[in-house]
Amino acid sequence: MKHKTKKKKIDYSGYIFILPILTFFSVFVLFPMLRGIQLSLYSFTKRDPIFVGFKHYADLLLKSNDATIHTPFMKSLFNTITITAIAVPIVVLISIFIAVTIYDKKPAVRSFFRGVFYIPAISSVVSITVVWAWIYHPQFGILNYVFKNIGLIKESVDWLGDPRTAIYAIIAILITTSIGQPIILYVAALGNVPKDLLEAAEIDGATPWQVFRKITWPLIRPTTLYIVVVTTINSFQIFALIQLLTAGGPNYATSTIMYLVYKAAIIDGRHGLASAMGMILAIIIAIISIVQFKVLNKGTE
Amino acid sequence: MKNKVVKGLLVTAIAATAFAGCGAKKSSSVTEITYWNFPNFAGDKEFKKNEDYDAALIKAFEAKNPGIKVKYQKIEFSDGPAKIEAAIQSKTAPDVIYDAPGRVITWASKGHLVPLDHVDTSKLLESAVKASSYNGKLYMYPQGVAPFTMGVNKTLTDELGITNLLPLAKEGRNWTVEEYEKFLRAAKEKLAGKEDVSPTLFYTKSQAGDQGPRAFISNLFNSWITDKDVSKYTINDEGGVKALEWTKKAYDAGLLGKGIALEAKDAVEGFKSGKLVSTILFSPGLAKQVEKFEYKFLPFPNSSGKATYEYLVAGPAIFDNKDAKKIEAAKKFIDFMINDADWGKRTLLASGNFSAVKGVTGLYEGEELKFAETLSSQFGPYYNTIAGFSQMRPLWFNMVQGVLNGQQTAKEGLDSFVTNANKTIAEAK
Repeated sequence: MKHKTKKKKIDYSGYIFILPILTFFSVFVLFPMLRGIQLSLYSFTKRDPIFVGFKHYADLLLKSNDATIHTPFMKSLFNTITITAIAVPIVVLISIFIAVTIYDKKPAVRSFFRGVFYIPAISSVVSITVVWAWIYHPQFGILNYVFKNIGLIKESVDWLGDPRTAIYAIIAILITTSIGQPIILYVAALGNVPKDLLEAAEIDGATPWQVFRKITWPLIRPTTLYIVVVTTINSFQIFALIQLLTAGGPNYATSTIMYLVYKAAIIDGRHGLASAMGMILAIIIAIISIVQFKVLNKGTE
Repeated sequence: MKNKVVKGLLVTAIAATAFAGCGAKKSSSVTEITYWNFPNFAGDKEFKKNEDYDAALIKAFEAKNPGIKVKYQKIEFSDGPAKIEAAIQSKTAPDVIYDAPGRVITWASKGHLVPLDHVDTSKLLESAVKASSYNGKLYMYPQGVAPFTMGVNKTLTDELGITNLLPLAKEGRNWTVEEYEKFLRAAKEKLAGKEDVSPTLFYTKSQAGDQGPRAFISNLFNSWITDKDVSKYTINDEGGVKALEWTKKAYDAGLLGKGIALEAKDAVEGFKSGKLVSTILFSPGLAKQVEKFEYKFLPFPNSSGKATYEYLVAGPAIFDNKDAKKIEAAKKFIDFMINDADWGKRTLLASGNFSAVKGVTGLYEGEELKFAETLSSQFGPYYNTIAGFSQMRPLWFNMVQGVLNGQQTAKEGLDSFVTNANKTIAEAK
């Protein structure tokens, strides 16, 4: 049997329309990525780069290579995953809770709360860390003052200096700066859930939880997918808070991969090592994002 | 057809306009060099702003050297090092930079700098020349030196009635660990009820100002971070371990503040604002910022009876931008900056440092600066130029944090620090 295939006529003029973004993408995203892969195979300890193959990757990942970067890197990898694993579900839960609470309020009230929760997202991270540094200050911090007054603690706690509390102190700030965008997205998504579906379910005797679980949640799942992926990527790339508040300490308790990348590239001039770390981070983020797409994308178009 | 010709001409005209000037060689005989500087020159009486001083210096130089033009860029201590690093990578490094050996020698080891063979080093302090050299060649022209010391707020100790516990009347103001501990305990006792003032702050958050805590630990029981030849790390000796154990005890007793998550900036600000009775990071440069009270330089407590100091060396270096004319002009500029009859001394005074030339003393007025000037004979081995120095720094502060938090003993911490720090030397070579 011979299929008679019609040759598709392609209108190449369409490519002209995507040319600007394609150029931008190629120059500022694709080329740096490829260059990053290339850099990760070189050592920059001398004036001219020296090809070292996969040495940086082995130094980072293999204990047997006995490189000083191995332990900090593994600790940072663990911290990065911990921060993401804790922050992402909390961000999703808090933002959905707030969105559900405010989306059917009067427009003025809704706007007020959206504004309040969005402020940390648009504020300069430097200003935010200055404020949080004072909140957490081991001697004059307001958190110790409040907690001591309500009897939660007896002695002042060095929130950022104690390895038992430091990472959670950072996660708390990360959450406050991350929930603004998801709240706005959820409020918009909730507004798009057809009212008649909700009313029909209520008439059929569904409890509010059942309404949320069986109708609202599936309908806002695409938004959740977007929020989970974006928050995961942001959490994986946490850097400024660490750099400004703890410098990765105490004893690497808050060190993250992005912080090590910054240190290796900018402070030490070890661009090859920094690129290798960046590549490993990119691969991890890509794998996690694919899994998230597969899991959360079921049943949605 | 006619249309095509017109279009072709138009495109050619536009291209010609756009690329006009590219590749055209300047016919003028003026050599232009670029000069980058951190805010190093804040101490001049006439020009209070660093950039104003640099502008005046350049103007004076250009007046005497009409064939050379100096293009100046101010850089900050916060992001300047990253800018220089980026410039080196993109082959747009400045011709002249005024900095310290920590970074300069790293650049020299990578072959980015021009050796300053024309400088007569016999007249300069050996400690300064050694710190500014790599493989026996001078890469930074040392203009100024200054010790990093401790400092005390004497106005506050007078108020608290504990000035008599300070070693101010002793020769060289030297004191032992016992005397220092007695002072801290007395300060803590007198400060009871004043939660916002502490006897001192042992900070160890990051590498910013980490020479303070390192000099503190090295001194207590007369140890040092490296050996005399700066070939390996040795701070895990008996004295080093004893010092870190003492520090842990004093930290737990509340004598050293809560500085695991605080850095040099917090200590400097705390001292300047009268919230710290004493500081473990002080220098003639920092002393200039003290306005509200009477300060005194103090040596680090040392069981041997004589402190050893970490110190700052500052001066210009020249990047090898592969242009002999520019290198020659840059050499003239740094010579002017250091040796000109008017501007040499003035630049040194503006930097607030002491002279790196042997025997040149008495540049500053006042008892405290005169005292600080005498300390150059007690400078310890300068190890900021050791290979892998920047990789060593996070190993240090993370280790100290681990010990102060009780995650490891002082011996365990220092042993693993020395093992890893020695590895960084090999890794950087």
